[in-house]
Amino acid sequence: MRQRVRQGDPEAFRELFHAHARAVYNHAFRLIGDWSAAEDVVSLTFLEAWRLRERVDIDDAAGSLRPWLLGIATNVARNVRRTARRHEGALARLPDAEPEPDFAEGVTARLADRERLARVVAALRSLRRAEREVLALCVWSGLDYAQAAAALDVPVGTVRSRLSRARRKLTTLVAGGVVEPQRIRREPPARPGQVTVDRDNAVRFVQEI
Amino acid sequence: MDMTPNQPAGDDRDEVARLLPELAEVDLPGGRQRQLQEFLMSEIQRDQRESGAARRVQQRLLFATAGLAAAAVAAVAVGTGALHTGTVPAGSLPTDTTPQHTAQNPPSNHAPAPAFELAAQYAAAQPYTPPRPDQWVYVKDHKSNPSSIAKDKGQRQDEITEVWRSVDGLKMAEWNPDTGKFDTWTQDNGYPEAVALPTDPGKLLDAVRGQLQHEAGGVPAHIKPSDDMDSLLFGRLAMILESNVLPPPVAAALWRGIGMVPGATQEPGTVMVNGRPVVAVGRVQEGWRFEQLLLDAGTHEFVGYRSVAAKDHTFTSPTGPIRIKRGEVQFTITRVAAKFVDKAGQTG
Repeated sequence: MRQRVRQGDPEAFRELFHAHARAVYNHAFRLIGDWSAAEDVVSLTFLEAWRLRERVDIDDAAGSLRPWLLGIATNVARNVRRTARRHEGALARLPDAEPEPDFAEGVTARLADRERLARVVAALRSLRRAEREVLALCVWSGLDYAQAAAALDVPVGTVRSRLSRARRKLTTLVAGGVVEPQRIRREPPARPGQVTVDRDNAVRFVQEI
Repeated sequence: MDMTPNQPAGDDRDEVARLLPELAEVDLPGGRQRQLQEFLMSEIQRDQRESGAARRVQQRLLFATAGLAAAAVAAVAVGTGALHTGTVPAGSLPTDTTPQHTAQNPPSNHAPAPAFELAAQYAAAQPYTPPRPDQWVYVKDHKSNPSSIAKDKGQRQDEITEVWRSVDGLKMAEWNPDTGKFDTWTQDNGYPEAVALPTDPGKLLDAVRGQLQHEAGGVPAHIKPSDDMDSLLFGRLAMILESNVLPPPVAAALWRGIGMVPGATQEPGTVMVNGRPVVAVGRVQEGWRFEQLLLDAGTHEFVGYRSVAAKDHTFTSPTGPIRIKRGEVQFTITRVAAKFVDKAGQTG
């Protein structure tokens, strides 16, 4: 896959988008707290990935390209304006979302999920941007320290120290009731190469074959 | 503290995970994922077509599509542009402004609204000194975003944008209001190609239309249905005009060319924008947005750009539908300054 991406195989990018757009979308929202803008980050991230494809390490042992994409998404979210200027020609062609009926099945539940996410992300605004980025990559997106360090282009030690600061601040936020901790132990974060697929996504995948 | 560099287990990461509420990932709404995937694939195909020598030229022309979609995405302010500084002998102005009709640009029954010609005459009469190759085009705008869509996207209601484009066409720079930092980066900005556009409106339309047709060749049908050629042509011409400080003959040809695009029209009378009476000329794009170039009501100097809902419209946001009422202003951009400067970051 890495070789195909580096060589500019369009089908490889189709597969890449299919597999990782959702993760990029959620990562973007966790960083910027806006669903509509997160959609834009998804498009810009993959346009940037295409532009930067020759930088991909072709060694398959380097693992999934998800950390690379999340690193690009982090950079895009950090400076959406500049990335948008770089791709302004393409963005002028970006189609509007297709109208969705107000009472479409699942819309209400999806909005509830989004509102819950929005509350948590808003509560984390007191963290520094660099801390939120590390938190989002390591905890919510399941990257290990080395992957997060590579994605952010910083030393592993920096990732560790940022996460440590985030933990201290979070402890304060939880003590103050600003953030409600999880009640049920979650599954361990996904490891490199492990793809998290929930039921809805699996159904969708089958339908699209 | 875990001393294994790459393994986070049992340390801050686990503790942070414990402190945070469980957050399930959500899907992109409706068919948006498939729609964006098709968009990506068509952009990849487009990029592949535009490889090699042709690519540089086309990318440089693409600067002008700093489209309104981009503005909606990230408050990327489009520049504006027919204002000029410096001096140039009046003798350099064009004498024959009658558009030449060609195969691609046949004569039509569309009579341009008078304001286009008045704007062309104003632009043609302005003093102008060609910049040195090491200079920059500086454009400063005020942008207001009163629309429901901008509120949904969390965009600023008001902002000042300052953009520098290198005259050699290779770089761009801007103050980023999000970070407070000054950014300079390498990007084809299209300025050399803009100043070299034909000064005959008919030939100019041919050149830009030909470029658009080339870009559209083989593109899958994901492109919005409303992206017909006239719509693209209007958008491209308006953006070329707005984003640059151009030689008067080119600016005049652009005004006349825009007036010749089918659907280009003039709003009757004058409208008040920021307390100033202006003449609005433009075109209804995508069936609902009246994109307007704003002209001073007295001189017909170009003073800004705005987008107004020409009819009721529903925008699909990830958080639900946004209903836009006819007459709602989507955004207004007013020119503050446009000039050549010696360095990026310089304003005068």
